[in-house]
Amino acid sequence: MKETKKSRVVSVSLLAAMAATMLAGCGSNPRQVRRCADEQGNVLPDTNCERGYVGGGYYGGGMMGRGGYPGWVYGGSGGTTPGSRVMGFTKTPTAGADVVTSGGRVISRGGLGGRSSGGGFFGGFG
Amino acid sequence: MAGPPAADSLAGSASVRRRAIAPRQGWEQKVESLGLLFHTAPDQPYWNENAYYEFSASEVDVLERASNQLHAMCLEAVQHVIDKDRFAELHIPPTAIPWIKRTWEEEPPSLYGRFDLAYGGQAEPKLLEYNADTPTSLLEAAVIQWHWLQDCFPQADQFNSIWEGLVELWTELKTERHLKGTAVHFGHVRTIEDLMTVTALRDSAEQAGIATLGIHMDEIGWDEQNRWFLDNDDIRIRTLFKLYPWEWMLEEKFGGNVLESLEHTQWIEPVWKMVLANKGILAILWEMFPTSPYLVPAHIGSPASMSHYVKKPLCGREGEEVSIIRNGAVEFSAATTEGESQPFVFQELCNIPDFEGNRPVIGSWIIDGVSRGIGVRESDGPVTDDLARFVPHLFR
Repeated sequence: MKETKKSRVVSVSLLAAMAATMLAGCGSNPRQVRRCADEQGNVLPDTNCERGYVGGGYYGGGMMGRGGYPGWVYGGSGGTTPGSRVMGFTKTPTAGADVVTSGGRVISRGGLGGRSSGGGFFGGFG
Repeated sequence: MAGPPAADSLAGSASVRRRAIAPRQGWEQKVESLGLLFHTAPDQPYWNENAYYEFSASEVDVLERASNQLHAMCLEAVQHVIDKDRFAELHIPPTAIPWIKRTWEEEPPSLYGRFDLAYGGQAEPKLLEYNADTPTSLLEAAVIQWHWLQDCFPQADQFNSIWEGLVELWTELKTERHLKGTAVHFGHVRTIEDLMTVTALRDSAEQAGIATLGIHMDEIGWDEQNRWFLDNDDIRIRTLFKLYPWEWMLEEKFGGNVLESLEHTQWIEPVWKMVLANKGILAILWEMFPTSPYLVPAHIGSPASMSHYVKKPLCGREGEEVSIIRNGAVEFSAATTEGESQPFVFQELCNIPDFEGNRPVIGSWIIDGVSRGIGVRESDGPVTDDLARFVPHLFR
């Protein structure tokens, strides 16, 4: 087969979804709650999922069980505090969804992004 | 794309061809459905499929070879700047230097960069500049022109495996556990172009099975107690792609926190890219490789003995503050946005083809250190600014 220099497949999903959302005039993403849970959906303290939090997989710093649990789960219904139960979750967030978690810490914002890019119609950096 | 300039016209003599073509029926909806919402500026098209550029296979080979060699030279130049401690000439803040050295040694993830080349097919491509930190027009190059080719010339080829290269790179970063975060955050400012560039990159990461989260740069939070960054939902940011220049970040309120966090937070592109994104690197490259067919003379601070040259700021973008001087007279000067607040690099004028008033500059994409494709943007004037039209290409 002749060698080509073009991508074999260029399939976009997030781009298409975001374009559709913006064209529909809706600028906000759906929100999904993130919890730390075991395979049965028992909600655990976040620290169970934060340890050993690395790229490419879910494991709990020596506690990794079958299927990468305990781990972060997204969406579903049920409580959010440790000891409660979540049902109908997924292991990855829905494309384009904003992920919500509980906070409570002292957080400063606005310390980056103070400059827009150029004065053109589109913006952009070059 | 910030690029310079045209000097002598090659009209009628360039071997690269610009061909007129009828745009696809409903092209606006087609490109919008792929995420290109900014296809038309107020009074002119930005995505322009009324024409396309046609290259030969050997011309594509020339561009690929030039891009790979330029990338190799750029890496040597970074090592040279570190070894010879030439950061001050580039006006890189001293606080960044230890982190530039460290990330250079540790090789954290680096995705991409875009060379801007002057090329008409008759002479070797000439480097205009390297957008190594915050290159845009990725969506147009990697996705939109690929689909245009599939619709219009499915049997033809295109120098464009940019998307494939990105997905391959993300896959490698994931499978070899080079990412600190299970999810990767993507930061950008509140413009449509940057949103779409970042969304294209997010899409390529998600194709590799990586969860992604978008965030505006001004929403990034600093956790004073834990001394790490959080997103808008208080999720700790461990790996962040930022479409925001390093030199801007370091001047801002959280600039010191950014450097402090580098131990624990991956920033993509890494901070060592500040060296290559600085236009002073053009002068250092010329000093190191004066016989390279891909370079033209360049100097920091003065034009030396050149009589026809481009003057541009070390850290300008989209043609900001670029001037063209010929025989001592200013032939062109872009409006300044902030005055002449920084040093300049002076680069000899390059020949850019002129196709009946259309001046194309080749954006040549380096993905994971390898030349993976091109996009063409053309201007009416001598400087490629943020309104330069993107025109698809093919080769036969």
